[in-house]
Amino acid sequence: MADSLEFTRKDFPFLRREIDGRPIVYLDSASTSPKPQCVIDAVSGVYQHTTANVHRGIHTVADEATEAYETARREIATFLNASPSEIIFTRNATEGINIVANGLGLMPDDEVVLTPAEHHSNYLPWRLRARTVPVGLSPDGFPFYDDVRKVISTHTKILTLAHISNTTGIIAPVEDWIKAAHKRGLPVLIDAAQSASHIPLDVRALDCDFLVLSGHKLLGPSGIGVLFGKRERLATLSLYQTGGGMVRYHGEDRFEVQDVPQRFEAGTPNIEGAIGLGAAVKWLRALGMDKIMAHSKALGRQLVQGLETIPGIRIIAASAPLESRIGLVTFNLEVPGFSQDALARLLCDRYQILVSGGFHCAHILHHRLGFEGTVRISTHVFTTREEIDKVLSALHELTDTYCR
Amino acid sequence: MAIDVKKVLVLMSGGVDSSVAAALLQEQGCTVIGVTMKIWDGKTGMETATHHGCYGPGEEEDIEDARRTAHNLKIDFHVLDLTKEYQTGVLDYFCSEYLSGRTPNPCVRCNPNIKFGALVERARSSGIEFDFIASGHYARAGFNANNQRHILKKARDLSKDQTYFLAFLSQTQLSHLLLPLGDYTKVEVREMAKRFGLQVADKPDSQNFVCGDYTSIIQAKSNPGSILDKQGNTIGQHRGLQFYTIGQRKGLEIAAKQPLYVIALDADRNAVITGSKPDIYKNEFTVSNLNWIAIEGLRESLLANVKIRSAHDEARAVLTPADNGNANVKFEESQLAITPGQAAVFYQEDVVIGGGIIEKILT
Repeated sequence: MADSLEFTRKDFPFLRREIDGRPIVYLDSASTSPKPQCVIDAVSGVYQHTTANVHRGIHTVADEATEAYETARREIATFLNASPSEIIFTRNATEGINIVANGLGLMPDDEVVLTPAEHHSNYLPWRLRARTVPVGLSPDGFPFYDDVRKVISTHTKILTLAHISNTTGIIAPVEDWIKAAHKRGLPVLIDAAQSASHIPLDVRALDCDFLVLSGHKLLGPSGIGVLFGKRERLATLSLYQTGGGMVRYHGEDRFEVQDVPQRFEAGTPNIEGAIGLGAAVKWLRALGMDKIMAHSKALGRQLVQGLETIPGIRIIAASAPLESRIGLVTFNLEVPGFSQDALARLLCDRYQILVSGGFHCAHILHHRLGFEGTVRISTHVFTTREEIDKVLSALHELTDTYCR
Repeated sequence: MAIDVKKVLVLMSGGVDSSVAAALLQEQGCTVIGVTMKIWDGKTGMETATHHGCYGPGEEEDIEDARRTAHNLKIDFHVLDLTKEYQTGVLDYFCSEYLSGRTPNPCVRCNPNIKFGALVERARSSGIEFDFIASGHYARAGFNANNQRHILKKARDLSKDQTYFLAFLSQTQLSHLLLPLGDYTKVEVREMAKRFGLQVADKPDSQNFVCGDYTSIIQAKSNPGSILDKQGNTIGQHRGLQFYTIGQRKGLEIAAKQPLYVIALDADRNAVITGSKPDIYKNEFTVSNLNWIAIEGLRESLLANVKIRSAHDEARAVLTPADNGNANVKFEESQLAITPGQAAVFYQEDVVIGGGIIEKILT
């Protein structure tokens, strides 16, 4: 059994939050995560001590702000085993994907290979510009990843997939996709929005071309995200936004843009966000991503095994081996008179258990499975076995009360 | 296999047989839905028992194997919790039978009541749609158009035949049953598992029910009593009736000139009756809880081959109708250790005529 990480709870002031005078059980980290004190301190520290713009000011505090901002970039590079010059700060994972989708110069006949379980943010930016070609889907919602070689065609321009789907909670065989793509010289984008919090990431080992993540799911602030790109790949992307900070020279006759990463960071960036995210990944690294992964997998196993015993439940990707699942499980539970949203609401109102209800930005997957929504339970480092027991017994109680 | 077969619910145990059954059906064009039952409640103090039994702490691993197979085959998969049904339908029965001096067979009970009973009902009530039910049992199902009966026949691989455990299935249950392995040998099934790329191809065969000490399941406090000889003299002490079965020689802990065997268990007197080896050879007994498969019922005497426990070599006997819908079975030659509580299954050649539970030894 994986080590308990319960000792980390003291670092999260939000976990002491109560609703109706009772402590909450926070099982909605796939939506957004609570922040540890070190992140809160890093962000407020910028406002209290280091208020200055970066890469622009000519004074001591501006130097300090720039240094803190670039230290955060190095911290994140270390977290991903990338070089700092390959790390672009974005608003979120969505923006990272849009930068790449926009920058590849896709034509309407070009094809983008993905899975039907992708989040809207890894679907729509591609759909807008090219033809999306998903691999198949099992009856329980597991993408047929190994079909990737069958769907790559001469029109394919890029492969893109969630490292861990925000709906299935299953670790995708991204290495296999990367191998298949590189054999044909195609790039691969990895959406690490969910995986970054749960499993170790190493872009060198993965050999992926692009990788995106969102700070707010990774114990960091909202409004900050990361796009990793191999230098040669980033260099060929067309510009996304233009403005201050991204040009080296701007005259009447011409302008010269900065090298990566600055060329993609037009305008004053989210300085405190980047510094906060730097603190968050440092905190995670100190805890150890291997330990975090073991903990997450153990909770995922406990969740599936517990949920499976509830009559009438349909778990998305129930057939996926448990060792490939993190602490994220989505299911449809028929309780007469309750939509899946209402079920999630009831868990909050009656048990102070916070989960997601709805489509989790994965309408395509839900349509294919014929679900009018699902409930999603998701964990993070601070989640305990007892909390999982609580949500399981609450769901048992609800079905016992309303299903007979 | 009918061409119009659409959706088949396959009872998957995580073992090689049910995995191959699922793969075969899929290959034949069926839509296969995998289902595995959870019956282990984790309570019964069997932590030390090794796995490879149906009931025990190895269940978690077996469910994972079933899940992996379903995943490989890209089929829908469900785990259904039948802990309560198994407790009342099998374990309680198992305990009460032992405590009343009988030797039950839990598999004979589990198949009609749980696997092809409660599990199938639960799948239906959970909204899973299917037309047929399949398992990895070695046996063959068919239909006799002459008398409109659904029938059960022995497997081609007689060494693996499991009809003994399926003899209590109802006509309704048999009418939905597909047994894809009936025409294959175990060796062929293992080869197919490799061909289908199933990781469970080399998984060892499971023993039925539990592996290890079954008496740990019996929660009641054991009630020691006397060991008697045939004349009723006390010759020793027993630890509780559940620890003994007819024909047993070991564990009596009595020094005697001739080897002593258990010849009967008397629950009324809480006594173990012992005798010599010839005393455990008997000819005639009554059977109750009859289930007829190939015939509608027993109206007159019938010659059949009768098997009185799973490892017994069937022997010729005459079945005669008796009171209360029971029957008498009389072997042509006396048989070793006819044991109340065990199933007696009747065959004519490879066809299962029916079965009943051994009640009382007559002669």
